[in-house]
Amino acid sequence: METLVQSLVSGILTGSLYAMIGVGLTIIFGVMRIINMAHGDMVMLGMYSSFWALTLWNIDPFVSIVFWVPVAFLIGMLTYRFLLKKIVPAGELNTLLYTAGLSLFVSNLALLVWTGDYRTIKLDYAVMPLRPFGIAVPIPLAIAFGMAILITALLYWFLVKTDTGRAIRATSQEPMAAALMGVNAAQMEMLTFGLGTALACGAGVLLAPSLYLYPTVGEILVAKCFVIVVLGGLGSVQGAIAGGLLLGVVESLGAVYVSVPYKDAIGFVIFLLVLLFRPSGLFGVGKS
Amino acid sequence: MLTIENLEVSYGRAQVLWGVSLNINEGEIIALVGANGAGKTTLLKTISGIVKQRSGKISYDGKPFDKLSSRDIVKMGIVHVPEGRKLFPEMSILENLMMGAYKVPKQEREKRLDQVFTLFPVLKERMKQLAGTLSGGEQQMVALARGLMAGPRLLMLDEPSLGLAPLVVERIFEAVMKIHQEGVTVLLVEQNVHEALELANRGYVLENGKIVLEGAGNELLGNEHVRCAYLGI
Ligand SMILES: Nc1ncnc2c1ncn2[C@@H]1O[C@H](COP(=O)(O)OP(=O)(O)O)[C@@H](O)[C@H]1O
Ligand SMILES: [Mg+2]
Repeated sequence: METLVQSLVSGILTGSLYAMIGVGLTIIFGVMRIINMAHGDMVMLGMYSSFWALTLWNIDPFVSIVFWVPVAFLIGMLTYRFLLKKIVPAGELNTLLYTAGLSLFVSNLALLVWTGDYRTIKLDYAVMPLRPFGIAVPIPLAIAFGMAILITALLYWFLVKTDTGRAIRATSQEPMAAALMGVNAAQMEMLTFGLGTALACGAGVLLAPSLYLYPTVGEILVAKCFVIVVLGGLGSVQGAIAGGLLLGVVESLGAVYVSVPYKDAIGFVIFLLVLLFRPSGLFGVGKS
Repeated sequence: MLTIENLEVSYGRAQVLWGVSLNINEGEIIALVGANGAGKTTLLKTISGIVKQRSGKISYDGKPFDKLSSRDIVKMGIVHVPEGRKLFPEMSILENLMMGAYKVPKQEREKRLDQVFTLFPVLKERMKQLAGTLSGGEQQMVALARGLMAGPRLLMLDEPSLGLAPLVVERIFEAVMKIHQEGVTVLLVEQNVHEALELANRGYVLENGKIVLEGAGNELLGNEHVRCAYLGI
């Protein structure tokens, strides 16, 4: 029983960060129809940013996130403006290949400048986990969880309550009508790519103290991301949140009850099952 | 109010509109009729700026607007209610209406909303309902209402009766008449040729991208070609 609760808790903690990454991927897809293969590399860049801010400037990851998120937002918007804008109209397959190329470029560049060494972040307050009710909760993961929830909630509020957020959702649901209402689609796309990149990078910054860092860590993360958004229904924000939490819990239960080496594979098995039986996702409404 | 001269529009190499000229005066209801594929939707899209013309001139109140974006065009009061409603399905009715007023200052939105709810009281009762769950007729009402939220001087309706039962069509046309009585100029695109020409002051017939006939509504209703090709008489 205690093992079950323990693995549920760990699963939800990790899942909140998966959700944050997944929401980023799903809003980008929703608005631009880009399947962003480089999304995992944005997480990777976030992890290294976190690492270097600590190593070089001695800034704690949970402090450096305050400036890395806006920086990532800007980089995302510039990436859209100078690398993606022209290619978006070329269609989903072209942008998929293009972002896959971008992903190779970014991860190989990281390999070149940061080498392939595995690195870890050591925080002196993270040596002992908290033990509420006898359940081990690693401190960095707990803080990351809180911040991931805060950031995701802020984004959700923005999308639901503001004019611009509503225009972003409108563009993703019915781009032609949104244009007729006077929405500037290119502007919404740029903003969305900035937000999606900021979420990915931000999650990377938060995850860095809890995972190994290496330049190709993005590959496995982007694969997980696809599991998440397909679980939740591509383009759905609530779906990505639910999908992220679900994947976190499934992986964590799998690690305990099946075996640790199969942890990642279990997520993909669930993914295939969902695709087979609910192609529009667990919560999808079947919109094409 | 709106003058179009020799408009030519193509999608890639396929030319769709060939030298279309048309003129709408303030306060009129103009019907634009024609078969499927004639180019009616393309004409509306060109006026609202989401399709660019190859040549020809469009002017509004005497001012040419070839360099304007669709955003400027909405702001000037030319509002296009698209074919097939194109509502935002995962938004509530209220949110759809708010999107209609995207370019309208916040303090004016409440007033507009009241006007729209006076015209369509059912929408007020159900404003929290998701647009994707409404019936066809209700969706068309929301589409009209969303267009009104933008504060049109010229309202362009692309086949508002498409796929609706005759009784519902009547209600939609009644609403269009009311909107017109409140001073909005209307460009009505329809395949429902008879009703549209009865309603309209003047009409244009578009065939294969060319205007082949124009005239007063009742005149066109009596026209041999129109009766034969569109009314099946
Ligand atoms: N986006 C597009 N790309 C290429 N051809 C198009 C496009 N939209 C419409 N067409 C073509 O233009 C012609 C006119 O279409 P449309 O304006 O939709 O006519 P209508 O509204 O009168 O039915 C049709 O032959 C149609 O196939
Ligand atoms: Mg049409």
